Amino acid sequence: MEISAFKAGYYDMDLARDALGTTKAQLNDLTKQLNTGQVSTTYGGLGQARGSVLDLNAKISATSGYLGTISNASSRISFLNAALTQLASNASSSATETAYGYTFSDGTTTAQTSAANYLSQAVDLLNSDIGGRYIFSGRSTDTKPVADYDTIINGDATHAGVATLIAERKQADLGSGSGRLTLSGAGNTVTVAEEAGQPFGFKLATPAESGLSNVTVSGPAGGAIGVDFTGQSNEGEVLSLTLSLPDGTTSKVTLKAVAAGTAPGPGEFELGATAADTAGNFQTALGDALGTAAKTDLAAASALRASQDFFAGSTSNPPARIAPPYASATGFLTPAQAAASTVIWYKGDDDSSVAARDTSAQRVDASQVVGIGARANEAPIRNALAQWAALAAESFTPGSDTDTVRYQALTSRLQAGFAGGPGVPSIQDIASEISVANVAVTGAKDRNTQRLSMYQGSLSDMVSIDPATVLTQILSLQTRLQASYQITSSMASLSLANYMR
Amino acid sequence: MGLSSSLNIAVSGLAASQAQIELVSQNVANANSVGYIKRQITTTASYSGSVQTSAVTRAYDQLVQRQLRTENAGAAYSSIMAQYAQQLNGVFGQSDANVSLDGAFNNLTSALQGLSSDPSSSTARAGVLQSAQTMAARLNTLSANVQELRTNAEQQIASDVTVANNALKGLEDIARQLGTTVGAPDVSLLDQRDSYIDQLSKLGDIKVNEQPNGQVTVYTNSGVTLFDGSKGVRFQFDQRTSVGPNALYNADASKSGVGQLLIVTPSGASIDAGQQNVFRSGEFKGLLDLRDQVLPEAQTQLDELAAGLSRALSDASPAATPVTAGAQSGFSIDLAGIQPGNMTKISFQQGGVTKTVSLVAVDNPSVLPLPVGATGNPNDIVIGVSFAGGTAGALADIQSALSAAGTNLTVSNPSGNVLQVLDDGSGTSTVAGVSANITNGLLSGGGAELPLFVDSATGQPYTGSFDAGSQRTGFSSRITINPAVLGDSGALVNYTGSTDAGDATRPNLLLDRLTGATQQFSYEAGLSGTNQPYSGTIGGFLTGIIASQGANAVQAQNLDAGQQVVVNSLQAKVASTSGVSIDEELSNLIKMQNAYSANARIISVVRDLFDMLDRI
Repeated sequence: MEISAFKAGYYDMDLARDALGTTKAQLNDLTKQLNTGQVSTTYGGLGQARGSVLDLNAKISATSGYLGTISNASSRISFLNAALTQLASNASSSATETAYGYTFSDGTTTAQTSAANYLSQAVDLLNSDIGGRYIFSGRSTDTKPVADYDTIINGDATHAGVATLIAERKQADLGSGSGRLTLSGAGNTVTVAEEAGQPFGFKLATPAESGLSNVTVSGPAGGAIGVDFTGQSNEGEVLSLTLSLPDGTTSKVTLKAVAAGTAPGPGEFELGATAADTAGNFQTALGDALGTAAKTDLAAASALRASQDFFAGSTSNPPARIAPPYASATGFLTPAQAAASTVIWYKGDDDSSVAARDTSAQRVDASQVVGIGARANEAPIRNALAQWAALAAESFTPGSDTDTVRYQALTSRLQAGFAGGPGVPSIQDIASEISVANVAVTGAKDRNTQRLSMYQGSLSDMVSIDPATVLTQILSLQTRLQASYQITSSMASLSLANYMR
Repeated sequence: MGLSSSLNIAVSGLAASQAQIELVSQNVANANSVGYIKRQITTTASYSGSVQTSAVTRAYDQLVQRQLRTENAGAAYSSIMAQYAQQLNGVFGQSDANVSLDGAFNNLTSALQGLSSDPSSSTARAGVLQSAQTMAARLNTLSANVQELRTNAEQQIASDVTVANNALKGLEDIARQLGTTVGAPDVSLLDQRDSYIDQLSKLGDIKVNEQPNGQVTVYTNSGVTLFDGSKGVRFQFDQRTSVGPNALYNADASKSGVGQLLIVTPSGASIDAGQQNVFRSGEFKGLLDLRDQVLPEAQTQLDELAAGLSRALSDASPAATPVTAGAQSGFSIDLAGIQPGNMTKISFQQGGVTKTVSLVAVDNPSVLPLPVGATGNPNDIVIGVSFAGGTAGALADIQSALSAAGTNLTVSNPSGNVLQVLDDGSGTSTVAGVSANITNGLLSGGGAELPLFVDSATGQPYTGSFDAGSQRTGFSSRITINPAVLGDSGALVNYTGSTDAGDATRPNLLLDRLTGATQQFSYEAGLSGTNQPYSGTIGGFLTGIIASQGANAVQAQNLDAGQQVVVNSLQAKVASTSGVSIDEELSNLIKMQNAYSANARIISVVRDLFDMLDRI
């Protein structure tokens, strides 16, 4: 308050003027409060409440921030849910479709056509974005995660697609026709052995199951199994060889002894005059059986394995690509070579040290973090894609018995894959993880909304005026001010000067 | 007794009435004049029976006047303090989020929350940049406002100096005139004299000694003579037209960034009123306090806030590893990348007392030794060390400074820039912990910390360097968003050079540093007493300074209101004795009119009587 120059003579009048001024200022202040709805425009004017108001303002800001995060998270969750539900439903449709028969009048079955559809649909779903930011790309939200359908299947000018990889793998697994196994006979003994030093084709990992009399089986030892005909076996007796396939499944080759003079059908061998003759017949029959298995079971497994390998690839971990010459391949290209010549179907974030869910960790409350990230190359999604691609990329010749068996071999594998089972991670599992996150997010939303309205209520109690109170104050002040004016004016006229003539 | 004497008496009555009426007119005319004191005149009867008028005197109560002058000084002080505190509160404490400091900070944290939730969103990134710019701009504005208030104070001192010098010159003139007066001094001179003294009493706390002949001497309460009865001192003030954060008071005029208030005595000696604390109250004291203490503290609060904000986002804290060597144990810490101003704190116990040694990196050896409290904590042992030659180059300096400080810690440099601190191994001392802050100046490749703000003077992140004076001083006026980040909003997320666009590591770190991380704010900000640093989050410090400025404003206003009440009551007392009452004067006028006409009547009767005598 400025000190006005002191005039002793007019002190009373000055005092009255100051008092009127103060009252008028109060009136102005109250009118301002009424207009703004606020007690004060500065923290100083809030009195003791200023600390709480500052604190509440900070809390309201933080809570609004959480609610912003939650709204972001919610829209992401609904996008994820829609995409994952569609993927899971397509996978289960495929499980049904692959169980049905195989009519391929034009070389393609219904299951194959739908697999192609599902795959291209999956590519679109996995490329979904919210406002230009891809949700299946982990933390690389600015990178479109999945290559388009045609590139995946057929590749581009310089990069091979899944179809090429399948073809290469088939050649590498097939070898010269018997699935990279060699047969040899010496005397009474037949030996079947893996081609040494290469990872392709059939593998011998299980001892042969022999029901043949006078036969000693040995191995597998050093990638070889020996069958030693020490004497003659009896008609109807069987020997089975279990062959491991590249996709982790097995194929069983069973040879049954038929009486001498009977023409052996597929999977049968004729007992000869001597044990050595029998061994010779056994070797021929085994060679045929292996050839058939290589063109059916092994070919189907090769296709699936090649497709799986292809989909296991990502930017920092290019897919396994077989080094030519394929029929006698012994290994893979280096990752750099593979990356240069193979389509990388998934370009998103592939840092395996961070869990897929954690790639988008949303802070929905002071200490609550909810992971709602997703990657297109998570195992369940990748497997479904690999299966669809294997089915879509393969072609079968109508009327060919071998191809019919091969189709069955492939679809039975795919059916098992799509149907899943206990302990096998499925797309459903990802969807349910997202649902759990959604529950947490919804809970946090309720809490934060409640908290926000509580904070705002408290804040408004402290900084807002009660219009009724202020109006009453203004009225009483107005009355006082009017009375003061009246008295002042009467006092001013109460001077002797007015009464002297 | 005869008719002649009656005539004479009546004539003297007429003259007395005229004199009194003249006085009434003077009183009435001057009722509203500043410093006018009611004139009085008394009449006495002479031995001959005629009326004699005394000299004109003033209705003056010296005791009350003296009290009023004392309180005037107090009121001027409290009023100026309240006025500035109110303005300061207006600067800091706007509660509207669009202009308030906390509103800007809350917007920045909200924007970071948004970025943390969706790091690749260009909207969220732009939001963070925009709110960071607003925050920096608001700090700049507030700092400018504080310095404007200081400039105002400087200007007001200058204009007060003119007032004081005019008053002192006036006193000299009056003393000269009073010296030539014979007999009772002229009352109008006294009024004039008192009005000069009143002017001085608002500027400073003064004592006045009055002689019967109207001569006065004026002292300050601290004993400096301002007016010795004939000659007055002169105030001198070398006003600076604009005052910035670095312009601080210094007793050495060549180093002072603000004007010095000098009192030059008639003999030519000069006294620095600020340094000697000549005034204990009054407007001079208030303005000097504001300019040199209150407002610089407000500036320090802003600077600490700006520094804290910048450091929180850019500084990494390398982890210390416990080590043992034989019986000795301690910690090692990697100080690679340490910059001038970065601190390494060694907390240890020796003889049962916990102490902290702060090693402050300094590249300019001319600023050594650093003052106590340079680290923001006056209890720290401060050692300024040059790390220009890496940890190895600084080792010898650190060791000798540690020994000089009376500690028995040993330091070594086992590899690279690692500093290893070990106790004495006998249990006399124990190293409790070692920590360091190292400013990351790189947008990517230097860790998840981000130099979001830079010092516009250097274009580099704030490190708290002492190399060219304290970098903190005035930092709030220079803080600005890093132009490199502004040009590449990807830097808000990309901390390795190839970070995924959706990686929230850096946004999360920035958010945590602003909302959760505790840091130390200098004791100079005055938020937790005068000798303890304030430990808390940036948000806590921010609300702390706003609340304390608000409380200061209210307190200053209350003090002022109290002081005004005291002044008012004294003024009322003065008014009752010295004030002109129009009613009283007018009733006197009636009396005098009557007396005049009665005297005139007597004269006309005497004339009639003379006529009658003539006709006989």
